[in-house]
This record gives sequence, C-alpha cells and structure tokens, in this order.
Amino acid sequence: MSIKATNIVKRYGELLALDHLNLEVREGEVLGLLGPNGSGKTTAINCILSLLTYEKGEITVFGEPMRPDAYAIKKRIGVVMQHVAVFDELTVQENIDYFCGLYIADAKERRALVDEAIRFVGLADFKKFAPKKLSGGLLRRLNIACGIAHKPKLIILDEPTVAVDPQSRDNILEGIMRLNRAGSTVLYTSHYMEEVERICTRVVILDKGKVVASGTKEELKDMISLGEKITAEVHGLTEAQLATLRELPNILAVSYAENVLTVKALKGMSGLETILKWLKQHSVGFGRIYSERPTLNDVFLEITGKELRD
Amino acid sequence: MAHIFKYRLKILLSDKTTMFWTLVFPMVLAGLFSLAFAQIEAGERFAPIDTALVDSGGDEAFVALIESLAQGDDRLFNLVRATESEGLALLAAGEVHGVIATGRPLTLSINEGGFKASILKTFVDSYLQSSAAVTRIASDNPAAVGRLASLLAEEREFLVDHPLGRGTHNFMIIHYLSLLAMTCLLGGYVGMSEISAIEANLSHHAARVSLAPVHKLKVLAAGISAALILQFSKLLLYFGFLVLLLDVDFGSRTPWVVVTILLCTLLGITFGAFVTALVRGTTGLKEGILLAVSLAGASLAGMNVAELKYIVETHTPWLALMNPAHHITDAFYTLYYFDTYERFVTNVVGLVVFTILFTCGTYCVVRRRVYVSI
Repeated sequence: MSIKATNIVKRYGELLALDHLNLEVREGEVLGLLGPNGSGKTTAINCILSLLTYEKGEITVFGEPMRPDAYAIKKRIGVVMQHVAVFDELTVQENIDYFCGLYIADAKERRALVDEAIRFVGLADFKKFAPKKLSGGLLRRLNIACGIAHKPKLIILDEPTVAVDPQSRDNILEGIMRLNRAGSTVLYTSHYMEEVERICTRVVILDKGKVVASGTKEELKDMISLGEKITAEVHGLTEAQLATLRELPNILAVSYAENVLTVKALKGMSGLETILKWLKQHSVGFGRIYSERPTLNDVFLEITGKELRD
Repeated sequence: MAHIFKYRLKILLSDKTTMFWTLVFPMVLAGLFSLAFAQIEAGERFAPIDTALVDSGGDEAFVALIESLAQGDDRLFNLVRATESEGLALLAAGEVHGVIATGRPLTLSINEGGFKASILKTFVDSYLQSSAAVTRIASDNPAAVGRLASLLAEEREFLVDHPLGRGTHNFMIIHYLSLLAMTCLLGGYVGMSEISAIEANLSHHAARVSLAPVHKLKVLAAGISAALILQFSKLLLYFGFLVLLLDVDFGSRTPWVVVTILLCTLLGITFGAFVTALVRGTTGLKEGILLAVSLAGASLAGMNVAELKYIVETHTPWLALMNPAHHITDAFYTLYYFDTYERFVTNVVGLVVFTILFTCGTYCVVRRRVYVSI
C-alpha cells in the first residue's frame, strides 16, 4: 500500500474539512481523487504530506507513519501542487535543478535527472528561458518537472491542469500515464471528470470532506441506476408526445429543449432501440441521434444531487 | 547546503525589489542628503564684504591693514578704491556695504544696518581704539612703545579647546550614520525573503521545500548565509559610495567600521526574519511594517533631525535603548568621535543582544513543521 489514511478528521475552525476520511492508494495504480472545489481534496493531500495538522486519524505512507521529519519517505514522494511554485529569478533548468537538489545531492546524477525531466515534459527548447517567458501550459509543465525530476516512487498531483490549454493538458495527462507505466504510483486530484476517466485506474469521489463513492470507473457507473443517455435532434415535439415517451418502461427522465430531446434510461434495456421504435411509431422525423454511457459526473449527480462543477 | 546556498544567492541577487530597497533607495537618499547639505554649507559660508576705500592719504597703516584683509580666499573684504563721490554712488547703488574714507578722522559711511554693516563698524571702531591707545602710550611713555608693538604682534588665547574625541564635531555625520543604520535595517527585506522561502504558509515555493527530505532550518541556514554575504557586500558598496563619492568622513578606524557594518548587516537580516515570522498577514503588510520600523528607528536616531538623537537619549533613554537604529548609529558615531572604545563596546553589546533576540524569536516561530492552515 502506498498511502493509507484512516479516519482523518480536519477542521478549519467551525468548518469540517475532512470528515472521517478513509483513503487507500495501492502500489502501481493511478488513483483519481474526484470532487468539486472545496470538497477537501487539497486538504486531504496536505494532511497526507504532513504539511497540515489534523485532529484525528492515522496516515501511513509506504507502510510507515507519515511525519514531517520522515525524510526517508519524503525522498520517495514527488509532489506537484495546484499553484505553480517556481522561481522567476531562475531559468527553467535551474528551477528543476534547485528542487531536484533537495532530494539528490550528487551533482552528476542530478544533471542527468534534470535533463531527463526537461525532455520528459518537452521543455528542451526552453531550458534557458526564465519562467516569465513561458506560456501558461509550459509553466505547468515546468511545475511538473520540478516535482518529478528525482524519479519518485509515489507522485501526488493536485489539479495540475487548471487553466491549461487543451494541447498542454493532453501532454500533461499523457506524461502522467507514462510515469505510471514507468513504475510510479500516482494520486491525481481533479474536478475535471474527463481527466479522471481518461487516466485513472481507480476513483475516489469526495464531497464535503467525505468519501461518497470509490471503485473503478465501471464499478462506480454500475452503482447508479442510469444505464444510458440518448440524445436526438427532433423538431416540433408536442407535450402530449413527450408524455407518452415518459410512460415507456425503464425511462428515468425526459427533457426537450431547443429541438434537442434527451432521454435517460435505466440499466437493463437498449434505450436507443426503444427510442428509435417510439420515434417511428409517432412518425417523428429526427436528425442526429446517439447514445452515451453514464459519466462520472452522472455518478456524482446521482449520489450527491449536484453537478461536479457546481 | 552548498546547493541551496548557491541558488538562494542567485535568487536574492536577481530580486529587483529587494535590490531597490536595500541599495538603490539608500543611495538616492544619501545623494539627496549630500545635495541638501552642500546648499546649507554654501549658505553658511562667510561672504567677503564689498567695501569702497577712499584713500585721502595720512593713514598708511590703516590702508596697509585693510589691504591685507582683502587678500586670499578667506579674505574679509572685497575692496574697491574710489573717490568719495564714486564710493557714495556705489553705496547708493547697493554695490558696496560701506565706504571707508581715510584721513582725520577716519570715517565710515553705511546705508542701513545689517550683519555686514555691523562687521564694518566693529572693524573701524576696533582700529580707532587701538590706534588711539598706541598714540596715547607713545605720548605718555615713549619707552613702552617697543613693548606695546611686540604685545600687539603676539596673539594670546585665553580659552583653550580640549576636544573630547578625535573627530571634528559635525552634526551632518549623524544624518549619514542614521541613514547607514536605516540601510542596515532595510536588510530586513532579505531576511524576509529567507523566511518566506521556508514557511509553507507564506509561499508556494516554501510549501514545495517543506515537502522535500531536508530540514527547513538547514534551508534557512543556507539562505541566511547567502543573504549575509550579499547584504554585507551591498553595505560595503554603500559605505564606499558614501566615503568615495559623497566624501563623508567616517573617521580613521576603517577596519572597526567594517566589522560594525558586518554586525549591523546580521542585525538587519535577523530583524527582517523576526518581523516576517512574527507578523500574521500578507507580504505587503510585513513589508510595510519593516519599512515603517526602519524609517521610524532611523528618524529617532537622527536621520532627519540630528538633535532628535540627543533629545531621545536625554528624555526617553528607554526608547533609545529599544531602538536598534540608535545602537547602529551610536556605534559608528563613537568610532568616529571618541578616543576610547568603552561606549563602542556598549553599542556592540546592544547590537549582539538584539541579533540574538531576533534570532531566538524567529527560531521559536519557524521551528514548527506542521501548519494548521496554509
């Protein structure tokens, strides 16, 4: 087990930030910690890293109790914080070298690691640049390089793609998967469910400091009643027609707005086939029609009653 | 440790804000002081009195005397020879302050009162008294004339100066010394940077450092060492600027002055570290407090009004004792002015005590390694 947090309680005054949080990160996995802003993801990470005090609970990392002076454990952890933490006064290469030097004392070994990290994040052409000269996406990549240059066994990334353009986001996510393939365990927090769906092998959903669900993506989707979401472009549907649609078996919800019909169907039936049959029966013409599996947002919505990005 | 030291030095060296407050700002201030003092000195310098001399003959001794006083850079008079009517015309036009006409009697014409007219009157009265005394002695006791001449030639001082110290008493030096004290305290900006670099609740960089397998006091020690070397170099540069470019006289004990600068550098850095560690609030608030305390301390130590240093020392000695800028100013001043080292040692003890207090206070705050919130 890379991380085991048991029954963690953390308060900020009256606010209960972590409510008996239990979290396990298994060796070799990419665990996604998914939750809306303010759900306690960053607080959980800071407690795990012994940056923050907590009122109750126990945390072990690599099987050992995590403490501020647990340097042997810290040596094997790489952290990429939500905020870019690099020095404007140093170049890209110097920034990576500085932070890597806090873990690796040998200059020769460090030089090779720094070069490798620069190549890994695709900043080879910018290594003599000052951070101020980098775009937001490149700056995020530098932030990541500073956190992973020492080749940690456990990498914790706290929303590393906030305010990043799609191209850099792809690059970052691809990089995280490569790190995982190279043997690192990854704890990844985000409120972007698309990212978590794409790279995580297991997901923990957090809300108001509490774990509300956990499992693989498929396990989570199986937890909810929604089986399929069908969307069709339809013109001129009447309220009477929609009422007949709602009366069909296994239909969870129907909505119609701006000529787009959305139907949510329960598991255990082919929703698309049912809808196609219904459209034919009622001689309703349609344009594009497609069916989608539920997303993690649907899981979150069904469990908590609100959207991930609320 | 060397790795952290190298990069902290580089970061501090490239920090333009800190460079401004710790070097450029004091240099600009010293330059302005120098300009202001130059104007004050020019205003206080004695200007020769423009005088017209109407020599009608008959008093060669007076003519010789006044001509001798109208020569050289430190002359008393700017002398113009003129006829009586020309002299009076110059006086009416305001081009001379007085017209002296030789003959019997010696006369002085002035337009109105004033400092320069008073000097002219005193000078003429003094000459007339002396010449009358010589004439009377010559007629009453001709044998004593020779002795009288030697007495008049001999200048006798009845009051003798016994200076307490080696330097010239100079109020302006207080302004520069308190400015130097302020510059030392503004080194607190560098101390502030070092605390911000290790306290996870103050900067994102520090949070990253706190996650690394290195004790944060080790990072702080490396950072403070880099800060000390950089700040000491800046203060030496500033000292050189004052001495070589602005011609400020710090006395002849240069090695001790340099040692004092080193002590004051450390005091300034630890002062900034202490304020940063102690004050809860934004970086702007901490910077504001640091600047306000430095300026207020230096002002009380005589930066703006030199007499204030003595007023504070006399009426509120506890305030002087609690003011690090006072100890810095006084340490430099005693080196400049006094022959003995007693008062200097007292000041050095004060500097060391302050440095220890600031260091211990900082340590007590930053030794924690876990935060309630960041």
